[in-house]
Amino acid sequence: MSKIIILIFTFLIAGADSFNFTELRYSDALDRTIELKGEISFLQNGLSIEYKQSKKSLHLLDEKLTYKEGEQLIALDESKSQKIIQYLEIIILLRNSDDKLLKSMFDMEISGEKTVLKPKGNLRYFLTYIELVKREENLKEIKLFLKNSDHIIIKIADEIL
Amino acid sequence: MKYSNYIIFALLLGVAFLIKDKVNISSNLLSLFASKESIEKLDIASKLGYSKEMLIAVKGFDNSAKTKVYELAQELKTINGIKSVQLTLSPSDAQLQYYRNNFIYLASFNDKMQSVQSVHKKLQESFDSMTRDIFYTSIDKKDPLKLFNLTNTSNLSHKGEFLTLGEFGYLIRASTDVSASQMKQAKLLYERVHTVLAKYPDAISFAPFFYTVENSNEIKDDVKWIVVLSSLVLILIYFILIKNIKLLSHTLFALLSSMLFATILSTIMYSSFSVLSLAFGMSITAVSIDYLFHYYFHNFYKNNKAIDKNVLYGFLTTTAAFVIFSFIPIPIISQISFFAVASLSFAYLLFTFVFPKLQIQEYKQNILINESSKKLSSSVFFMFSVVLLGISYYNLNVDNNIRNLDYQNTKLMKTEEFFKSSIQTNLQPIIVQATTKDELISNLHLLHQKLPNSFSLASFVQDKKSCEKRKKQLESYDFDSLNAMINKEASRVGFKDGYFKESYIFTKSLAECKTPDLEIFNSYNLYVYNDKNTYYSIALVDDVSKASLFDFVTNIDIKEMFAKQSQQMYSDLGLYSLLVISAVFVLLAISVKEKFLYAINYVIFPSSFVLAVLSIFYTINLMHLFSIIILIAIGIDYGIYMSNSNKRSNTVLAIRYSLLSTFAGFGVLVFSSIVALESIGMVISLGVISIFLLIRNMK
Repeated sequence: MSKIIILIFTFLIAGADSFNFTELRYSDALDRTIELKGEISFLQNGLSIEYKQSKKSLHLLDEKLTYKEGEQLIALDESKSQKIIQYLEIIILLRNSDDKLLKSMFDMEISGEKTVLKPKGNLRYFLTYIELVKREENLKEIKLFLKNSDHIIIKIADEIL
Repeated sequence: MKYSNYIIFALLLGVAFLIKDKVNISSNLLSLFASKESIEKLDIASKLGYSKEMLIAVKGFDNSAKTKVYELAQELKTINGIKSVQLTLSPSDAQLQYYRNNFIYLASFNDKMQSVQSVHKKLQESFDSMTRDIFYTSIDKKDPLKLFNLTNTSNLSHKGEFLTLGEFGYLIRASTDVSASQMKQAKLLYERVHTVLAKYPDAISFAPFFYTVENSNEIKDDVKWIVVLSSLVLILIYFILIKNIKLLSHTLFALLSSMLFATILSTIMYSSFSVLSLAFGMSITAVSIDYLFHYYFHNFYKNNKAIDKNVLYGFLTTTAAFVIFSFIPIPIISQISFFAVASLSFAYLLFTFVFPKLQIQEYKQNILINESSKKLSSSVFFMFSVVLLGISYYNLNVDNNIRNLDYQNTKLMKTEEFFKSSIQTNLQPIIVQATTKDELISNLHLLHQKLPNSFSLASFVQDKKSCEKRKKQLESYDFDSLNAMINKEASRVGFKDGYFKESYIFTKSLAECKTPDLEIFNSYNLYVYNDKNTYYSIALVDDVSKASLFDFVTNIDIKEMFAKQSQQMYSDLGLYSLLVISAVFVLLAISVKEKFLYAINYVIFPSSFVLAVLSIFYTINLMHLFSIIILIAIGIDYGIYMSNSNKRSNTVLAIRYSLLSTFAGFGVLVFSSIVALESIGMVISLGVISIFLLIRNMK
């Protein structure tokens, strides 16, 4: 089964927009930043993230999430899975720049390369704001500032051709 | 004197005009079928927001659907008549404040004493997760050991924070201030909502008040063409067959006067007379045409006789039947019967004492009746009727659902069913009551303990007793030692020094245990209503019969209420029918004497014929039974006329025309799409056929 899923993803990723990225995760509780490097692919109905160093990957396709460590599929509990889906959907939304939807969920402030998004709904209880950096219409950085003083910075490199 | 018929009509019209402000015609059909107690229950339920919710779903779960559902929600918010719109699980600011203040009481609490080892283990697990997991994980500095756990209490399905309707798409729940019984407001809101929805072809919607608007439009259209059809049949009888336009004009005015008289009397007698009773009562007035035809075809108006005994007996027997029925404790039947007594009596007086003065042209026999030579005896028909009754009894299948009498709006019914099945909640509403607000919350918690899947204010609000218990439990727990232990172990594990210095400090200042302002939960469709001495709220439960074991619970399942009510109705109708049939037997025996068996066939044969056909091909409903009573009333007259007739051919002719008029009044209802009207039409049409069979084939 896992081989079939890998095959499907390989096929889908072949036709997707893929980028190398660096994720800098600052934890206030640990007072340290953790760096993760990986490859992100935006698919037609989802997203795939692969952390090559740790051989772990996340795949979201048609609202279904799969998590793999090496070749092994790992089951996630429903609550955790829902949170990750929500997080990944925000990444997709930010990347797609669906203005109507973004405005329904955030108050937007644009200044030059930077766009600041302040959440309106349930998100506002966890997220202080999001900062997007775009260069030549391409999304380069996503910064998420959380209520607990943690922050996540995703730096997107050029498209993998 | 030849204008006296018109003068009487004008006078009655004048009286009606004078008292028009005092007349109260009710359009609340529920009051005709439901008991007073049921109406009171539903009234309270309506005040609690029950059946005022509107559901709208937009197909799909992609970003485009999300955008649409958001835009649609924004537009709905601007519509007058919509109180609140919910498309996400986001709590309101007031709810959030409440959760913050009462989190400590609402969340479950793991009161197990923690050891150094257990604290270290938990912190280490969190640390590992935060440093190794590829997905972001955090730790709550106020409750690092997750001793408090607040679970999602909402009964709504969702994707992310957006509400969903099963696998169909995103869902909007709108709370309106319109109930299904408020026709005018329902129509306005329906139009406003559908103007907005027209821009969203992917959206589907349902609210109980949609039935009020859509069914009313269908009923109006239905009634319009039935009136046209009925008028055409009547014109055909008078204009083409009898060729007497003056008679048509006088008859119409006499019927209008009788209806007007009965309307005035009924609205004076009843504080709230139903529009449906009025419509049926007016139809029954058409039965009186048979008095006229009997007089006309027997040239009564030229004979200078004071009264015709046959018509008098017919009138008295029919009226006696309706007088008995006017005492039945079923509002619709008692109202119709009262109206019928008044209108038939007035029509009888007009046709008997006013019409002789109207100089109506004499009837000249120009139609020959061919009597069949092969006729069966009355005892054969009687035996056949008994057999038909036996068949009916064997096949009888009674429909207890009074809602089935209404117009069957299949499209909307399918949408309602789709919403119900997609929401996948088998929760049913009940009313919970108490004498105080605290007792109400306490009762809701008792219910919640018995039925843990229930959804009510108890899902959000603690009762005072549990709150005090939790307060004591927290006060006795040693959070100071725990705080010290956490801070020490956290440093050892690798967390930032002092990060957990405020852990469990929030347990120091415990809020007072008191019932909050419950209005903040209205957005969950959870309302509290209080009259003088009682507080009410709605709870949704998965087992109504189990919930009903509590004496503070009231079941408001309309289907069950109607089923219970209809059982009572059938039993009342059975009892009164027995009384009516007994009275008819006695009166028939007096008026026709030795021809009793012959005359009674006009009552028994049509009834048994109709019952047999209905029981074989249909499920019998209340309107079928009531129409059989009308049929009996018609049959009595014909039985008397035929039994005592001196000039049989003229009597047969009178009955034939009378039957055609009856078909025009009632029979055309068979073409109606409203089950209640179609049922009446079916019975009367079958009855007309069976009486034709009797006239032709019984000697």
